[in-house]
Amino acid sequence: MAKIKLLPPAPEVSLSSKISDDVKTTTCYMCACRCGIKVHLSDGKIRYIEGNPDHPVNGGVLCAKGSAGIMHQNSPGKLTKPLKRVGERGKGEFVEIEWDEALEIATDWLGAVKRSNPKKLAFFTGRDQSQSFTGWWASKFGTPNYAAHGGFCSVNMAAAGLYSIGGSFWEFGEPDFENTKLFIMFGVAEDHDSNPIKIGLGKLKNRENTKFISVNPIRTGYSSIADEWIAIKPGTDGLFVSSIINYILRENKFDSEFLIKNTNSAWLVIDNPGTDQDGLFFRDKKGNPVCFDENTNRVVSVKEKEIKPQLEKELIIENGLKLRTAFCKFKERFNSSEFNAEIVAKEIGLSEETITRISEEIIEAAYNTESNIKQKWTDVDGIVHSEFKARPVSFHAMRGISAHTNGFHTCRIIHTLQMLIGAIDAPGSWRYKAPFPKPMPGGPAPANIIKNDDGSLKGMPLGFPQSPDDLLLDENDDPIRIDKAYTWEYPIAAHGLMHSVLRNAWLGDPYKIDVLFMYMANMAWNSSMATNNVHAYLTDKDEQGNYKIPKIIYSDAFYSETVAYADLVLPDTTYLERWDCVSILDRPIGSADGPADAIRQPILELDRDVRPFQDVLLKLGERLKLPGFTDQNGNPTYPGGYSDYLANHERTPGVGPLAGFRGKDGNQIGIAESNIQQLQKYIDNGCFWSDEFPESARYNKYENSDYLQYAKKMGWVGSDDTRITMQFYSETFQKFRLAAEGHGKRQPPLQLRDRIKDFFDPIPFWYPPFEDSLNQNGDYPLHAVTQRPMHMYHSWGGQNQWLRQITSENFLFIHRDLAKKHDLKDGDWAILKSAHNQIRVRVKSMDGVNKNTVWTWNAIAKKKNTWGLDDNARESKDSFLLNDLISDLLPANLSKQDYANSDPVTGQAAWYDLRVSVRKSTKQDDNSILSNTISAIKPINQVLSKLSKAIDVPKDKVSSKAPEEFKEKVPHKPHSRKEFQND
Amino acid sequence: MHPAKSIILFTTISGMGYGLIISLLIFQIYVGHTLSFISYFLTFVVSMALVSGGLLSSTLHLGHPERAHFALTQWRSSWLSREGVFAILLYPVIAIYTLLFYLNPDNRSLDTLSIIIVLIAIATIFSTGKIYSSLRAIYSWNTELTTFNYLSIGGLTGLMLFQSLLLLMGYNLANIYYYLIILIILSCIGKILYWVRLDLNNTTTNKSTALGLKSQLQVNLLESPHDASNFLLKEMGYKVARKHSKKLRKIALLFAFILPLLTIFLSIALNFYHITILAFLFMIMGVFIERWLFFAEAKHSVMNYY
Amino acid sequence: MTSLHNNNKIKLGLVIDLDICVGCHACAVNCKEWNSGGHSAPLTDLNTSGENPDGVWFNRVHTFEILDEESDNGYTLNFPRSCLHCDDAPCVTVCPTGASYKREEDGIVLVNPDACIGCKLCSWACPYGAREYDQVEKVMKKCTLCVDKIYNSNLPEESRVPACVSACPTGARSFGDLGDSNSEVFKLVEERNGVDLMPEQETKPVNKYLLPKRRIGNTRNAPRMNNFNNLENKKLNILERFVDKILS
Ligand SMILES: Nc1nc2c(c(=O)[nH]1)N[C@H]1C(S)=C(S)[C@@H](COP(=O)(O)OP(=O)(O)OC[C@H]3O[C@@H](n4cnc5c(=O)[nH]c(N)nc54)[C@H](O)[C@@H]3O)O[C@H]1N2
Ligand SMILES: Nc1nc2c(c(=O)[nH]1)N[C@H]1C(S)=C(S)[C@@H](COP(=O)(O)OP(=O)(O)OC[C@H]3O[C@@H](n4cnc5c(=O)[nH]c(N)nc54)[C@H](O)[C@@H]3O)O[C@H]1N2
Ligand code: SF4
Ligand code: SF4
Ligand code: SF4
Ligand code: SF4
Ligand code: SF4
Ligand SMILES: [Mo]
Repeated sequence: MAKIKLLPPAPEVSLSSKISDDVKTTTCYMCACRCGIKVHLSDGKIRYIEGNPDHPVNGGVLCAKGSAGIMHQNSPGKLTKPLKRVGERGKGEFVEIEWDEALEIATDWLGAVKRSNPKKLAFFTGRDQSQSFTGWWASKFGTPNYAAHGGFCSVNMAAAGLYSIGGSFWEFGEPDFENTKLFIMFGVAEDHDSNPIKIGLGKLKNRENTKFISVNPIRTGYSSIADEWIAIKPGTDGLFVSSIINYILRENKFDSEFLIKNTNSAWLVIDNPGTDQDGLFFRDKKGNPVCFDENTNRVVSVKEKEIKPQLEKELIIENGLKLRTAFCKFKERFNSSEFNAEIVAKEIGLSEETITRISEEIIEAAYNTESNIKQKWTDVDGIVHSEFKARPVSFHAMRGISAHTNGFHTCRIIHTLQMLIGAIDAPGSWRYKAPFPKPMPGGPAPANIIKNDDGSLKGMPLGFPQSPDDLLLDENDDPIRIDKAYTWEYPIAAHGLMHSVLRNAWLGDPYKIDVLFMYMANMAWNSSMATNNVHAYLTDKDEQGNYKIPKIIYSDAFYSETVAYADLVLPDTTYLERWDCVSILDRPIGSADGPADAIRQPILELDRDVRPFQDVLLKLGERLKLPGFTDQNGNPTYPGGYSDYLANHERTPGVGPLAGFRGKDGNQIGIAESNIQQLQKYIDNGCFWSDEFPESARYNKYENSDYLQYAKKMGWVGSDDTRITMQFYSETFQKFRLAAEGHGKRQPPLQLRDRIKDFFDPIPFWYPPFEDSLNQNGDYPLHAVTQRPMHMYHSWGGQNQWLRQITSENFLFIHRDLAKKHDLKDGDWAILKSAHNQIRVRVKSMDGVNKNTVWTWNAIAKKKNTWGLDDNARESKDSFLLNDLISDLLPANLSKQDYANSDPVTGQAAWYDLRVSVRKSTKQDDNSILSNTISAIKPINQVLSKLSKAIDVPKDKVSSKAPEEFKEKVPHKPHSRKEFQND
Repeated sequence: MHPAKSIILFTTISGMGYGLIISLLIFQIYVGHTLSFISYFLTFVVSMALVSGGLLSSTLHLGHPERAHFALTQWRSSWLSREGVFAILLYPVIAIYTLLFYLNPDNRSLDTLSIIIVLIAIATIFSTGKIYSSLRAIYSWNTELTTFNYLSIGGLTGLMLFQSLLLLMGYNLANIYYYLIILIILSCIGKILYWVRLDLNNTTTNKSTALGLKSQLQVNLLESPHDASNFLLKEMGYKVARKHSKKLRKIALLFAFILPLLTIFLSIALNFYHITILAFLFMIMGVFIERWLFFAEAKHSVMNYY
Repeated sequence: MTSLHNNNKIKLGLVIDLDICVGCHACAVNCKEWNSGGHSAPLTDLNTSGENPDGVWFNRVHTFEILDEESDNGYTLNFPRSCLHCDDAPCVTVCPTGASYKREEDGIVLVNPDACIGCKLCSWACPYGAREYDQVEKVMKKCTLCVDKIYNSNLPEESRVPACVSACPTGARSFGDLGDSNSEVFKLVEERNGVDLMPEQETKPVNKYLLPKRRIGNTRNAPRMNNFNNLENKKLNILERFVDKILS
């Protein structure tokens, strides 16, 4: 019994108590930003996680998610043992099995597929960050059906950037926060560069004479601290920037020097409509593009030295061929008065004055020389410069731009503006992060189905098509991939279309698969569109009573919504229990000042029967005897598991997953021998490696000799004396367009030709997002979007026991005027209706939102009985998933054919095209709408019957082949680039 | 503020208990200790039961009742501590008084002790009032009217109870009615003034000062830091509908003051003094409502953040 | 104990810059994490998997919308709220047990968990809602200014700042001695006209808040960015060159 004290005891404050027994460094993975952390351990348990001050990504700061890592580890929703389904799919009836059995089942299923037809395996992963490894596995397995999360995430960003400036927004570049004067951010709530952006904004905001503009329909988070908030109407950013470009052109305030030197804008384009050469660059005998030299008044190769290419020039050459510079073509489009501020203002939802003023501010800031950096540097021509000229206008854009059906072109328009004012990799502008820029056109094409003798693919499943020849179509012109990536429907689907996989697999369109293997993506929930349908896709059976998607293997660390739909569940560890690698071959963490990569090390002992997925994948590779996974004798190549692979795997000689501490003594970087001590070196260094470019190599990397030398040494570029020329004009796109015009060997089927012609414009253009067409009669007057809450990461953040105290229910935020109009008070229930579905939501009104936009936080809603949450958790009781409203197909009124709800160029999922209407909920609704998250408005069986009708559509109506008579008319011309191999 | 039943009970009951002691001892001086010891003792027991019951219930509602005695240490600065000190002090003093009175019922020299006890009792109620009135964070309480209300109502209910007890024990002292009437009127005015001040809402604290803004702007909470309720909201976030509270105020005034007053007049007019007991019952109900409103109507400044 | 020594020379506290706070909750969660094992441990959580998850937090981040109808220049304000370590801390003077106290050496206001009787009066007295009652431990808790971190010699020098400060990604939080006119934080407050919350409550908060600078809504007459007027000449020179180039 405690002794009763007479007087209150004097306070005891231990100012310097022992914190932990041990501090270990690793890399955070509460999100994909990949900050360095120091984990304090006490009795083998986490006491405290702090940011690693030495780390290049976060420099010691730590976000809310990262700080909640301990509750991730302590989650009651963690999986504990492999599971085998015993009940019906979706019911969550499993038996626990041993790993041996689990591996055996997986090996059986996968082995059968491998022996019969490897493409019947669809292997899709989420944001695992080991894509170079998982992609390699798929390639060795021999299936083209592999992708990670980029297709539903931001391939528009990646592709638009890589096809125009050789780098991209997303996490592959960064604004020069230190030097910028004007920073314009389009459609970002949080982004992957979660901490770096916040650190940067903090710096920028503390500087005088600096302005931060946020273009976003919603004024929260970053937008709330913007000096100016532009409440744009969703989907119109491209028009807004077009108008800015128009202003700059009219005022003649573009950087012609930059354009001429670093882009292909002064190259001469063949202007001969109707011919198979129209729109291609005119080339000299050696195949080099040409320009008009002002010095000599001659058409000369762009490769020639000491020339003065003319930016705007039209001429007719000897054979009567008309040539004009790419810039002329560009100017013709953007000079048009249809982009004048007063004309577009209303469509964008801004005032004419705002558009004009911002155009002027961009010009004022761009040519400000205050931020020039005194630093000697040499360009590829050997010219020594005394300073880096500043262009202190920087842009950043993310999914507010990319998650629309016009996202690719909108993003290209922004890059075009950057090129126009030369604001690329200059002091104060947006800058490439290592290992970018990449030469264009560039990147390997996606590996075709044609295999090596050992059954592996001849390359990686994902890549960058440069012409129709690179499309993944088989001899019948049918899609090679289950998601129809790299077909005429989504030709530049450089990250695949993960959001189409379930539907296609269920439909058997383009073919049936046997095993669906998923990893770290909650595909039965927040990463699918039309979630209500998805549950049906996963559980639907054929006449024989077999599941239409025969076998599903899934690896997750938690009991997420998707687990219940798997036949075999492979439980993964948490990020604190395994080796991981953040590789330059993947999504690198380097900065504009130098490359970096990192590892995770297991810092907690496993307390349950789970295994690191990478180890499991290696094991499966061994069991399946995949090339590269075993040696000639059948012994494992990496018996030590994933850490063994990390240190010893070489993709090409000298190139391994990790670029640091290579070579025998661990003091080499980039391309060098592997080093057995490598992982230890990483650990000793805080689990990361980073390097800094020399001061002279930090800007103008596309033409900076010191940089290019460094890059060549690292294997990022092929040559160090060639300028990386930006694609102001995309000849690659013109090749697709020519095919649609009936030229070339491989042409799109008839019904797709207009689409290709329209969207493969070599010069970017703006068009309204496709779902806008649903509002012709005013039925869906509102735009509906989601935002990422800064403190949560998709579904795995929402289950966190600390973070869910902050947010456990999502509301529909609507403008105060709209609330008034519909008599909605805060907390009232409303019916939110899209053309696809309707759901019941609770509303909250606000002022800082575009008047025609409604929004909610992403991925708060959870399905009942998941994540270890109680039945009455508000996540499943009161919350809603906007995905239930998002159709997985484009509006039916647009075409007879079913297209994924995606950008027509890249196949990027168009999450933010969604149009809705809202009304107050009535008593009646309460009875008819059973649950908020799984809507009963359109009963599942009705959906199914509608969809199965879609399968019955006679094949010829949706044929992907051009009718014979059409083909005959088209003169056959082989393409200059790599021939399509017919076998 | 959340109107916790235990605190309502505690403040009303102990206030009444102290009021009863005050009445009893002043009566003793007044009548020259002519009350029979039995009658004294009965009244004494009732008052002690009320005071101790209130004290005990407040102690039991502490997070750590076993440490309650720590609360006596900070009498230099804390009104809660002072309240405790006075409350505790009362026990030995009144015990001595009771003993002396028992030993020598006619002892006029006990008057000094009576006065001391009365002062301690007043100081206790005063301290209770002060606990509330000194809280600047709660505008409605942060006035000496609060202390006055506590004192007047404590005294009033005590006297009312005393008169009822006297009647039950067969005494009848008409003079007490004058004091009752005066106290009712005073308490009623005090309470009305309290409400008038509350409605004037002259607080300078508002959503703008809460955020440190220079001028007064319209501030709306967009996102609360937590979706579920929490300690703060449970404790301070009590909201009563304004309309509701206006009605309750009238009911409180009616029961606490008007009906007792009328009943007293009636009892005098009818010469049927026992109806006074009815007045007491009305008053108790009224004071409960008054005390409930005291908490329910109080808005804590933290609510400016929600 | 409970009386205040109003002669603290050192006044440790925080300065929070509302101009750059994005409302990310990093400070709140890292605070929770540090303190869950610190001086006031545990920070009890209730209904962790249930309907109303609730727990003890020393720092809570609100988001407000400020309307300014006249200029139509409303803005969104993110606002972290924690103990201000008031010089005239009412939470201290009301405490009947002395459990609540303000440290003489640095002005940090703390609760002695062994002396607290859980009467909650201090939580009524604090105008800012900075006190958090632990419903399981049944004692009052609050921001400790990370007293067990800022002096902790087991940590490297740079980590000896409050958890919320080292975590904050935007750098919106600064820590230091606000009683020292030479300190960085003091100067920051001077420079930016740092404000007290509810000054009329006369608690004399040590923590200061820096209000947002200019913000422009999506409005009729947003002022143009006029920071570059000094560059007019240079700019023209460059532009002349362009025009020259284009015309020739
Ligand atoms: N905390 C946290 N961080 C994350 C994630 C997370 O879940 N939580 N997820 C990670 C992942 S996978 C991704 S892909 C990134 C995405 O990071 P973000 O790109 O920041 O993604 P969203 O949160 O979708 O924000 C999109 C923003 O665009 C706005 N928007 C919508 N439509 C338009 C439009 O037409 N024009 C403009 N200008 N704006 C528009 C929305 O209002 C929203 O603010 O974040 C990563 N980081
Ligand atoms: N409405 C709407 N929908 C969207 C978006 C949107 O903006 N709006 N954004 C889209 C985008 S960009 C994205 S990236 C997706 C994200 O959606 P998902 O890719 O589904 O991402 P998460 O919800 O994070 O789920 C990933 C799964 O990984 C599991 N997991 C977590 N850690 C581990 C681990 O260590 N190992 C393994 N094996 N599994 C683990 C989690 O438990 C979870 O089940 O959502 C998309 N969906
Ligand atoms: S941003 Fe946050 S969650 Fe993401 S890696 Fe960094 S600390 Fe971890
Ligand atoms: S903020 Fe509140 S808890 Fe902190 S010292 Fe001031 S009054 Fe006390
Ligand atoms: S709850 Fe504890 S710290 Fe607060 S006033 Fe009561 S005894 Fe003091
Ligand atoms: S100073 Fe420490 S205890 Fe106080 S809010 Fe910051 S992290 Fe929390
Ligand atoms: S961590 Fe910094 S930016 Fe984030 S909410 Fe806290 S103070 Fe604001
Ligand atoms: Mo994403």
